[in-house]
Amino acid sequence: MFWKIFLFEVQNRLRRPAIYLYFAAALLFTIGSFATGSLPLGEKEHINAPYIIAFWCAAMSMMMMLVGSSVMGMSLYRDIEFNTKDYYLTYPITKAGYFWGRYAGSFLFMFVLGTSIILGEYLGTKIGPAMGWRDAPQYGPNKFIYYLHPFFTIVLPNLFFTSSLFYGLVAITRNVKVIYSGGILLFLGYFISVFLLDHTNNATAMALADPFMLTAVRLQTMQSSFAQQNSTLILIYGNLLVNRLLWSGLGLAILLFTYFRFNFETFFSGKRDKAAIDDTTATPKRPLTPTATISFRGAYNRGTVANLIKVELINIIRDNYFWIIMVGGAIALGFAFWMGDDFYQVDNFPRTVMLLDTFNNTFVFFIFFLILFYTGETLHRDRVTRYSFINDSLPPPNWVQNGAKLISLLILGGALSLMPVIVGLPIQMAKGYHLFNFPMYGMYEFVRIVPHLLEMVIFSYAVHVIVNNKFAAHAVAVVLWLGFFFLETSGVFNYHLLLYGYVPGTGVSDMDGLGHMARPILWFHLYWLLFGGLLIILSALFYYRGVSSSFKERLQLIVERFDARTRLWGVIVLLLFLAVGAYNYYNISYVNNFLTKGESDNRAVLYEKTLKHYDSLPLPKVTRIKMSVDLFPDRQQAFVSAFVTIVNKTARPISKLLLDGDELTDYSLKTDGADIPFTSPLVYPRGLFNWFRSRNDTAPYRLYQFKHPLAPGDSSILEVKSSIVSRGFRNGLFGEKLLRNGVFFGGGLPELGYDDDDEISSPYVRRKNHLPEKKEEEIAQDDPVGISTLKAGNTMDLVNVDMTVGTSGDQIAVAPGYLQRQWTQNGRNYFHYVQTQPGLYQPIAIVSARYATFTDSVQLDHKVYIHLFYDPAHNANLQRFVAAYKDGLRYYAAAYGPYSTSDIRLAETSVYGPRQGSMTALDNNAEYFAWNAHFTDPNQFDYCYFTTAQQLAQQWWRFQVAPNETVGSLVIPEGLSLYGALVMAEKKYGKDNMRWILQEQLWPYLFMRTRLNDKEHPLIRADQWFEWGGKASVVLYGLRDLISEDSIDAALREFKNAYAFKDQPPYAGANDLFRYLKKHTPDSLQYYLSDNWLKITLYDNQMMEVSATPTGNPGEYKVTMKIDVNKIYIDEKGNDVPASPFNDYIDIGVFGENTVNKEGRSLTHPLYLQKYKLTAGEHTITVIVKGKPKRAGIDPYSKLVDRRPNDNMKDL
Amino acid sequence: MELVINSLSKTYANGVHALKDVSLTLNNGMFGLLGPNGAGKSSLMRTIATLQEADKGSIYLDDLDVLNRKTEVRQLLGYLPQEFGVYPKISAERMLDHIARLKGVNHPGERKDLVEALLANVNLAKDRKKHLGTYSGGMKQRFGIAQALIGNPKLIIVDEPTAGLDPAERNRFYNLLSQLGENTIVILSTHIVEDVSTLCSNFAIICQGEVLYAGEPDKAVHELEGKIFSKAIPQSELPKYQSRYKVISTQLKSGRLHIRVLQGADPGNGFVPSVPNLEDVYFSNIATRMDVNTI
Repeated sequence: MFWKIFLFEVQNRLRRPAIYLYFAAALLFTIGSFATGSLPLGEKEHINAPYIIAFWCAAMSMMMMLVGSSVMGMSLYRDIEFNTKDYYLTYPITKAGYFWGRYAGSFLFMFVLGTSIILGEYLGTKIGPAMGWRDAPQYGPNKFIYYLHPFFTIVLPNLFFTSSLFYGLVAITRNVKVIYSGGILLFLGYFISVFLLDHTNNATAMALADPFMLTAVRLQTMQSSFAQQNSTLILIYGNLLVNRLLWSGLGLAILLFTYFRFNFETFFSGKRDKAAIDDTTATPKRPLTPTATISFRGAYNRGTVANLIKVELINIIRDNYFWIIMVGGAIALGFAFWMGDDFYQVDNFPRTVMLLDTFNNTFVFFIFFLILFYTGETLHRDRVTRYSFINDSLPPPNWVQNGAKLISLLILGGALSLMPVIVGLPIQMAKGYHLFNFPMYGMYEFVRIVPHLLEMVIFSYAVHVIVNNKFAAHAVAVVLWLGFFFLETSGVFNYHLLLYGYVPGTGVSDMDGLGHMARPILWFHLYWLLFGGLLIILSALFYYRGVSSSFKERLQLIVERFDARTRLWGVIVLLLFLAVGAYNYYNISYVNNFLTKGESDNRAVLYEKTLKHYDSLPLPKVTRIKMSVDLFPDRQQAFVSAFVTIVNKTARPISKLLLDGDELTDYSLKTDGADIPFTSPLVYPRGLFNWFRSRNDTAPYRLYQFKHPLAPGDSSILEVKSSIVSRGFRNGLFGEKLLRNGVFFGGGLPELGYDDDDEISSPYVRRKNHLPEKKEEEIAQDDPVGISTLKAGNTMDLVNVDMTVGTSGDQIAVAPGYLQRQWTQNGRNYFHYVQTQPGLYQPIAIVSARYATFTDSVQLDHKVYIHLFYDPAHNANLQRFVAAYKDGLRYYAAAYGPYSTSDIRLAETSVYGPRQGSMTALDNNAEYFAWNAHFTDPNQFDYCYFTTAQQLAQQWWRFQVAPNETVGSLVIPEGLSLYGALVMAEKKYGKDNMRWILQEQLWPYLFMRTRLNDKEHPLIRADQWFEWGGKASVVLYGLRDLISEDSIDAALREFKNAYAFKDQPPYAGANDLFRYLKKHTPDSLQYYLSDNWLKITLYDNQMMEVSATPTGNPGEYKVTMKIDVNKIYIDEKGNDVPASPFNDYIDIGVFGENTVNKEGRSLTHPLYLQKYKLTAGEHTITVIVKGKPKRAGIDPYSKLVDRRPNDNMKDL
Repeated sequence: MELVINSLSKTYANGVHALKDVSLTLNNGMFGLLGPNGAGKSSLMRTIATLQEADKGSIYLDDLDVLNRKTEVRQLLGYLPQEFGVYPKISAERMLDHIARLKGVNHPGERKDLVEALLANVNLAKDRKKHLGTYSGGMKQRFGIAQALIGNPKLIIVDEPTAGLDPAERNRFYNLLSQLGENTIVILSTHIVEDVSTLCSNFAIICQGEVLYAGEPDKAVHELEGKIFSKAIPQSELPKYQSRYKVISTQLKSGRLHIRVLQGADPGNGFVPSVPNLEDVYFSNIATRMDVNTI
């Protein structure tokens, strides 16, 4: 019986064209993507890297859910739809045969469909290079396991799960709509995991929440090196294994549950009509007297539209599935809102701007699917219920019927746009947050969400009307929408005038709202809504009414419907659309210079080919800048007039100077009052879309030629005038450094010399353009140029700065240096900052905004003022910053030597800048970082304090001792400052409570070191952020523990004194720091220095067993610990080499129950803590302790670089 | 009023020639459309009901161009499709109210009265608040009838309206139709020849898209007077008779086949003259196009 039904199902499917179409579509789409490399590739990642294959398998099998819903759902639903019940039940079929036969027959096709993914991938990798679309070297070896593994671990489980789910849902509910709700809820699971990926580190939740494993693949890709991506499979273990088992198991469970619940009679006959019983007993008849007045004039059309809309909306909201989907969506959104952003496991306040941003970034896709689905339902409802035979012959004209449906959907779209408000407000209230910011809600809805959702409705509507087949229209709309999305986000093509519904991107902040970006966004939305108007007219022409069957008939109707009035409207909307389009085009492609990603690449190639030889020109050094800066934040404009003193510190005369004014709108250069002549050695071809711009687009690089060359040792004063003027608006975000409220201005001076950072870095693009391979060169620590150049830039050493900044009258401008004077003139605020004795190191930037200020001071050898500049609403954590500055200034000044200026400032900066930054006497934190942390529990880590202490330490370790350009030198600003913060944390929380904090610093190193693209370096030549930051800080902290605080402070002080404020080489490198540390380390501990700085050393210590017995004395216990001590070195080839023999200092500790201090903070309570000298291998240690032991550990505070720090502790 | 159909043709995308040069003239009163399944009845009615385009030809309702001025036609139309559905989650009362609104009954009070009267007439008053999804087939059909009668339609098209109705309901429906007065054109399609003979003043027979006969039922029957003969024969001999006579219908009764033939004169050979009926008219016309003897 099974086989008969199975074969019947198979034959039935083979006869239908749909399955071939699905297969061909998936195959061609995949071939196209792999043949052209239109994939989210890393720079050195192969197009057929196993990770990419796995990614594609996950993404495509997720998309196949759409097909699965039709294939699997319809296999059962057909019998209900076609009413086969009357005869099917009379056949001698068994339940098992029917149920499994249909399932297997349909799933076979899903399986076959799944093979199109790997087949397409494989063919793509062959066709791409064969057709010359991609370079052959961009494809790695094609091993079959790369395809089979993801097929069986990703594609098949995904298809099995979705197929079983859909099949089961239809079998139980006898309803096909349930599939959509199921599908949309699955997408929600995926959205939640995407959200988690972007916002938290909860690897377990994000791996499990995504039924398709796409997020998990992305996560593993993010955490792996290119070598791994290119040559290893996605490993299915741990969370991923659980994910596979969980979702496949769920599929199986659904299937079995359904099977046991499945009942022929119920399935076929359905529910009896319970409510209405046909009772034809005669009732007194009333004669049908035609008394009603009938009129089709006056308000008839308007009233009818209103009435039709009412009926449409009733149809939508009376549907239970609508509420299932809505509630599911609201719960998911609420979850995302509730989770919010966090740093160091401390939540941020649920600020309105964050909620809106979250909604817009992760949820809009969900809304699109919802809208698309309900558009299909609304347009096809009459036909599915066969009410259309009645409805379509009723009097209302087409525009009334058509319009009522469209307006109903627009109302639905409008209502959905309120989701962030409806879900957001209760979440804010529940979290005890009351700064609701209603104007922001309103503004964001008006500018971003409502127009976008209306565009979605119109798009879905037009596609559904024109395609006129529900499933096909869903597919067409999804493919188009995703196509736009991938084109936009990948940067392959992002000309917003040609991607429906796309507008310039923007962030949103409390400080600036949507700022000046609201205007271009509205212009683009107007453009797309007018285009939507054209789509509506098109839909009106294609609107389906009656039973016309052929396309010919529809064309006939179109001609008939394209009457004078429609034509008039068409022309009006078209003209408006073209007018707005022309205005937008004028702004983005005439006033501004739009370039595609390919064009930008080509320009970078041209730049390198044309200008590379100027790399060898000798460059002067800037020694003094006297400038006046005029900021106009409300207009995104800045004007600079500067006198720049340059000195030729080279041995060659300088006659030519290459300048890059990329960031500037215009600039001029004079010396001795006369213009310096220049040529523009680089001219680009015109951008593809910028037809009305000049055919030759002069690049912003100028070659200046001095009349009198600057002889070695000579100096000269250049008079620079520059301006940054944002004209019109651009295709994307612009002016993000000159916001109305939140300026972050980088100086406004042209850059000196050829900059190889502007070169193309992708090896494939380089090869294609015949550029030599680019190697990241490691500058040796004895390289003479390296030690005489600063990491912060090769044209500025210690610079004397005199800066007058003018900004609008309601803003405060903050800059590095000493604030000499501040005044108001013509309604504008002016600030005069000076830093001359001894000058300052790079970078220099000016921030300006409508700040509230908070000032405090601390008395050192001189008085130091602490200034906080912040948005008035973001004042929750001011005392934490101030405390860090006070403690830090006192401690660092005592330990390392005096603080060099009289102020330290912390300013809040915009959402577009970096999270944190430091300059001389000026630190900055972005709006979303630290300012808005919501501390609720005394056990939370005060990262405001910690990161501020770290930034402050850079005043010594970057702005007094500036690192040179050689490899490893960033250990000085990054490692020493983080170490300083660790010391501050120890002083705040106590020595015994450092375990978590130290592990937190080391974790990135332990994690990332296994995923390196290149060989790992020992610390002294650190070339990765997790080496020069986290690892260095822990290694320094460990050294302090061994050689004492006084010794390390003495070493650091001596190092600082030798290098502070140098304006002559040699500048400090990691080897210099190491020299001073070595000098202050006794011989017995030199092993620690050489292990951790000169070699790559990892401990693998473990507490194997621990037991405790009372000794008989009251409260006294004998604790016996069995420990295992291991230390290895990583050799040149990257292999582990056991380090033996050794005899190292390692802490052994026994701990009692944690205690709680008066602030409610939980404290570690050591009963015993002692350094032991331990050799490799197992040891047993017995100690007597007072108090009941709870835990014991080897290196319990994680001071050593230990591969697996978690097994160092064991509970009793 | 007069409905004039002139040379109407329609070919579907799949090649089926649904209407071939159909010309008919209909006047006030009931007009019956007879024809086998797939004859083109529904195509014709849907075209008149503005649901479908024609390839060729014209339809005029007095001066009104039906094919091109659809909205105006719809304002005069009452249509009961052969198959139709309803919104499952909406009550009959609300739905009728809605349709009445669309049919131009703008005054709420009048609308309420109208809906009540209609519901009473189709015997749904008791279940008027129930969702249409819960209705049985017969109830749904009665709902369909009610909606077709809203708004004083001048042109009523009912496509096999009595399918699914029990005999009592069928009679009630026909009575309702008869009430509608003289100045309305009612087009009724049906398989049931008897209905046409009792109700319709005019009728047409359509087969394979062509009009085979159009006229008054009584006249049509009269034309066959003296030309119908019947005989009971053994089943096996049917082919022999078919080759010799114009057999228009057969009926198997207790092992013998009763056949009716259309002959200009008494064929003798055991045939007895029979009183003609409309069924004979129907079968004699259909038989020119297809084999009606289904045994």
